[in-house]
Amino acid sequence: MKMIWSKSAWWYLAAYVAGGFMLPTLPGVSEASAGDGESLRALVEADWTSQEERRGRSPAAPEATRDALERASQLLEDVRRMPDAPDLAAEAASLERLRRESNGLDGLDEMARLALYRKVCSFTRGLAFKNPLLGSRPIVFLKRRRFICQMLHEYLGYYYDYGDIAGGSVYILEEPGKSFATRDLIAGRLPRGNYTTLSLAYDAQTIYFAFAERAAKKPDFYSSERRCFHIFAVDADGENLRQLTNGPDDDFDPCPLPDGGIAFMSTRRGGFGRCNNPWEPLPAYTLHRMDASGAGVRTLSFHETNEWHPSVLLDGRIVYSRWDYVDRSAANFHGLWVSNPDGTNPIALFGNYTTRINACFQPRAIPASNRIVFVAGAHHADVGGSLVILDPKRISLDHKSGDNRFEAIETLTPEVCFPEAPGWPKSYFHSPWPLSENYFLVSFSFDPLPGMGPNVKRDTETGVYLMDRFGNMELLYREPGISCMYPIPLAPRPVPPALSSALNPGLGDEGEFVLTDVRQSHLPLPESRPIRELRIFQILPKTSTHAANQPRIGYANAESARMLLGSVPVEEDGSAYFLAPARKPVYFQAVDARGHAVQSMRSVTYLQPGERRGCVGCHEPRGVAPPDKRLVALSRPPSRIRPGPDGTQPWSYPRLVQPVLDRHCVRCHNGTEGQGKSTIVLTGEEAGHFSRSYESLKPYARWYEWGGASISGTVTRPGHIGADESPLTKVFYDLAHAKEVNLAPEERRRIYIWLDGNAAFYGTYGDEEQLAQKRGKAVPPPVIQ
Amino acid sequence: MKRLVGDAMLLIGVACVLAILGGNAGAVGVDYLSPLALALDKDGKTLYVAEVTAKQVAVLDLSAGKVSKTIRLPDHPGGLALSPDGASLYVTGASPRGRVHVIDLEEGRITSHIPVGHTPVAPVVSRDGKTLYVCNRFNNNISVINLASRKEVARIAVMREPVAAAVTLNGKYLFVANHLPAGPADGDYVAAAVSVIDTRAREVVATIRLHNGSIGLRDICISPDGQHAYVTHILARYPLPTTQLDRGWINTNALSILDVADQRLSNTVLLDDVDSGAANPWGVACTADGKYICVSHAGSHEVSVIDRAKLHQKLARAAAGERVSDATSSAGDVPNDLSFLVGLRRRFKLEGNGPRGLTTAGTKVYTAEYFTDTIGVIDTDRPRPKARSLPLAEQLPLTTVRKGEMFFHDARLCFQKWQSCSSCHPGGRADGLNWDLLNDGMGNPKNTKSMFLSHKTPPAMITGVRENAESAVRAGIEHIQFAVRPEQDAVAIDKYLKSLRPVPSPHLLEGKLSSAAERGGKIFREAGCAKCHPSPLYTDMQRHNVGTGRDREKDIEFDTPTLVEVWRTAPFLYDGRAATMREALTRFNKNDKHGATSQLSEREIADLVEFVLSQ
Repeated sequence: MKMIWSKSAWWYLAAYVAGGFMLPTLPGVSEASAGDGESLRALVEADWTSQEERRGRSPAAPEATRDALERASQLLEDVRRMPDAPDLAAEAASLERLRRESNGLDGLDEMARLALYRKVCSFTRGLAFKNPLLGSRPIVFLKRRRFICQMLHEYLGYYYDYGDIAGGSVYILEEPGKSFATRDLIAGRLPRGNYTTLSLAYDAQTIYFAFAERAAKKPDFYSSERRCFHIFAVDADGENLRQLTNGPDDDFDPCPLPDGGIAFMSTRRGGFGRCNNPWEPLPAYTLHRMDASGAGVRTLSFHETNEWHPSVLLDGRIVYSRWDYVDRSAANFHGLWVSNPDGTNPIALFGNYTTRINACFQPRAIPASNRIVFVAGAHHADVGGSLVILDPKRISLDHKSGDNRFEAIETLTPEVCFPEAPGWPKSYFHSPWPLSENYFLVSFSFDPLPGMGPNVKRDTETGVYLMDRFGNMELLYREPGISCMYPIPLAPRPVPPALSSALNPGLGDEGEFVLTDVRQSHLPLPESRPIRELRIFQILPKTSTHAANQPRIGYANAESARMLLGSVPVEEDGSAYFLAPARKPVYFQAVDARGHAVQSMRSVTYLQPGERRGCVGCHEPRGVAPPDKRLVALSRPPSRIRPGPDGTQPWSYPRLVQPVLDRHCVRCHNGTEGQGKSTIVLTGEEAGHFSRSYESLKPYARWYEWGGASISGTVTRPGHIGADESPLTKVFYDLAHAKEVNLAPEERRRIYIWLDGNAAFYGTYGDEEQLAQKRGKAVPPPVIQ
Repeated sequence: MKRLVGDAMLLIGVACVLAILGGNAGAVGVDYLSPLALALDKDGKTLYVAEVTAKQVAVLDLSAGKVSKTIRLPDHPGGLALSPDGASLYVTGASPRGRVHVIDLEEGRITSHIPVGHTPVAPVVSRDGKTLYVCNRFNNNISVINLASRKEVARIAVMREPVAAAVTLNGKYLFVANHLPAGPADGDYVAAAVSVIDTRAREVVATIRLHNGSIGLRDICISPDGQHAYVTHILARYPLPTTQLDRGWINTNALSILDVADQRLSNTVLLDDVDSGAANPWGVACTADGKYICVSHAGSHEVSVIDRAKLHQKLARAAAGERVSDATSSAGDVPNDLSFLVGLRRRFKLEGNGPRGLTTAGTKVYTAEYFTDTIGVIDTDRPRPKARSLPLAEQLPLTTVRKGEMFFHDARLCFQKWQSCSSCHPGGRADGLNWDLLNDGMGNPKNTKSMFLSHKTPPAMITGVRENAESAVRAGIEHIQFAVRPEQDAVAIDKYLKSLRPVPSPHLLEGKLSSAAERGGKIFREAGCAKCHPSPLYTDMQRHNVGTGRDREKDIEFDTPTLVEVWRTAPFLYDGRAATMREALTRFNKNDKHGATSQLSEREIADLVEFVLSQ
């Protein structure tokens, strides 16, 4: 997948040239409108037929009826158990009769079997809509057309001006199950454009969605004509349509919060992804919040690439998806993260340490449950995939590999494989809305998940359904040529608790970390190497350029520029207490007495201004509560970060490493031959994109990356960070060097810091700044952080 | 919030299933019931309920699901126990001059009263039915009563505030749960303990110290095979600054397992889940077949049902060094493992509010739902057990004070339900620990203050950093429970706290100052104490530097605390370094900045202390 940019280039070209948007007609669905009962029935029966064909058989096959009876029976038993179940004695009797009728199944002819099958399914459908969890309230949903490529582009208005894919709106399905009658809530009040992401206020009075107008002709990304998604609101009765956000940034995924505000994803954070084609910028978008009126916009997440799909858990925290690829594969880690509604304490929940599910999308808390439903999706496709239920109580990591274990995961739709892990599904789900652990409103498509990965270039059509875990799927609405997504019952729902925001204004633009014991670690830290300090690194989001390795930062593939902010002491008991800058994506390394990092993070965290955050350990197992002991670090004021050597803010190999080489190495390592000389040249003249010595040292360095040269893939193992792994560090002690080369401790540390900092060369992305760095000049840290 | 209002609505609106009150008690005009403790007769058919506020015992016919009779008491009950022959019911009257009321169950009335100590709770009958043990909570001792003569024959001193007790299977030992820790709070180990009494020798033979941070012990039971004792309590992470609640950062909720034969602590398991606290564990009982340990959670309104065999197997494997969970591969890991009970324990939500006393009958679990005046029932044997609540009487509308008391004990106000206000302030008082709140920086913990009288004596907090108790209550909701609550919740809590009445000191003799205390009263004035501690509130509500500040707190002026009920709020001084009042006035007052005490004789000190502790 390293050549993604060229693949996607073909894609954009194809989409651009293709022009009009055409959808293959869904087999079996008639073109007739569903206005009358007869055609609704026909559509529903055709849908049942499609469902059986998906199971690999005809609806007239005897197993089809037998399975349908079994599903009906499980449904009846479950609905009867509900506290506010209606009287179902009549239904039980009907089911008995149908069962008796089906005893003679094998003796019936095909037509009779089909008729019986449809009788059973009609029974089930009638029963399904008596479910008290659904009530008879209308359902709000979106019709939308998507730009097809990856989940990254799907929410950026810019890409929707490729080809002509405008269309969609917000709809109310007035009588779910009984009729296909819908009401267009926008009714032409918005211009030609596209819709994405729908949500509903807790009191069901306001509907939120994102809309992007279409430009007259395809604008350049940097032109002022570029169109973005923005968040709109409309009352549930269609009145008072209003735009909540505007400006040159994409805003989408509106998520009403218990305190009355709205969380959403936005590109306002600044910065770009690191692995796209050269002419298609892909801005980072992260979690933000605003007031109900659209005022008071604030960035909550300072993560450096992309996030999606926030929703509120029953305990009031926000769960969402984060694309995490600092020094790791760009195509595998899109896990579920949780944070407080004020942006404090972002923490990985599930999926950050596994490739078995490529992407965890659209998470939503299941009512009256502790579990979360989400869509197992993919990087190289639009959002969609298999439905999965997560039990947070059972989340754990494998104690050898550090990978996410799957005890916490229940696959709700096993017939749909996890996209890109490694195959592609022939049908898929999208935007599940859980009613309980057993019942869900879903979007579902009989057609394959579209995207560049599965090589399905055109959008495929989803309909909205009422689904249960017994295998029943009842069609609510479907329309040929467009997808129906985000079904939400138009009914008030309980508001999760509002959480207080405990930020200390006295800390200004800083926050505090308290670490109880650095040695509390899921993968044990080597006991022979006690931790003396923490290093704090800052990851810099990509600024103007956005293609992988354009420009190159160092040896590692598609890596970020970074800075070492400095270090803070760790006490004898493993505790630390220090101030750190807020609003920056940072990560930590635990460092031993020598100056080698023992453990390092490859996911960033960040503080809100005034946040005081306690950490138990250095990636302790999730179930570990903090220890009941006094912390030595708290007996004194918080440490201030002590900056590292010159050449680390931002990263600069010529300033960090070259001076050491000049002083101690080049007298022999000057490229000449002979006694006491070496052809491994360690002088600092420019060579290609880097310098001579940097190129020479490559075989002697080890780093983490998205690619085969990475020290490890999914999980970082203690004792295997750059300085530990790189042959260079052993060089100082070998026969050739031990007597001759006498580095001062500070100089040794420069080498270790360089290696632990992923052996990078540059700390900036801009051409001019890189040129200055190459020439050994100091440059200031970048503006976008 | 909506759910709590819903509770109130439910209580007001429910007009179905009225309990039939037999006998002479009428529902009209009776206050709340507040069921606290339960006793089940041998057949499992009749449940006796001690109802605190109503001053009565209700007799609940379990098959009919109705109260068949109530027996009035002269005072508020603290606990009850049935005689082994089922003929008598022993109910403690939890007053300063406490008594055990002996009820003849056939006659349905009290036939005698046995005087015991101050606030007797938790009566426990010996296995042979001949002896009754009673926990005198505020005397810090146990009364031993000969049931034949109906007389107290011995008093045995335990650690502090005994609140529950259980007799071993062989009758030889009485295990007593002490509610609070004793000793100074500024050290590295602060925890309550279980006192083990040899029933023949009538003396304490062992003090089983629990895990650091164990406080608020509520109940204790012995397993049916006699090998283990189980104790419910809070496990406070008090040494850490209160920066967050996640993953048990402030308080966790625990069950300690004691080895009966060895009389030692075997281990402590956490009752919480990683993202969901199981606040304020209270009643604990095993099912008679030994299969389950059941625990009520007064703060999160649930019952935990733990598979006992699996629990012990898992503990044994952990002790043998096996990795039994992500977080545990040794016995020492268990008290910090929030995932230990996954797969071993089911949590059942109750319909009622504030479950306290708990008992089991066959596969059924009963718990006293204090604030809804109901009995929660769960049949653990059913495939999908669901709790229901049996009303004990017609539901009354909640007064603001009652609501406040309910909210104070309700962990649903708290993020992820880790704790309620009562976790650190049991009964509105104090847990005996030092906590590092953030209102005065980090790394400088202060001793928990009692909330009693705090509304009358502003400013609030040890440093006086909160203008008044009202803002302290709101700060607690915001900064300790990390919740945003409607103002009326805090208003109700204020009212509840203001309604608290002082418990008369156990140092009083028949409600009056002893002669030593009288003498001490004079010294109190002469030594200058009355200047900052003038009666009746015993605080001038000013900040003073009494020379107690250390390190970062040097020369800090602390808010003068009230001395009313000071007899129960040890340890003393802002960092709890003085385990006793005596220490506060002597060892920690070398420079006489905290009253002129250095020149007082031993006897004078003792008298002064007696006076202060009599308030």
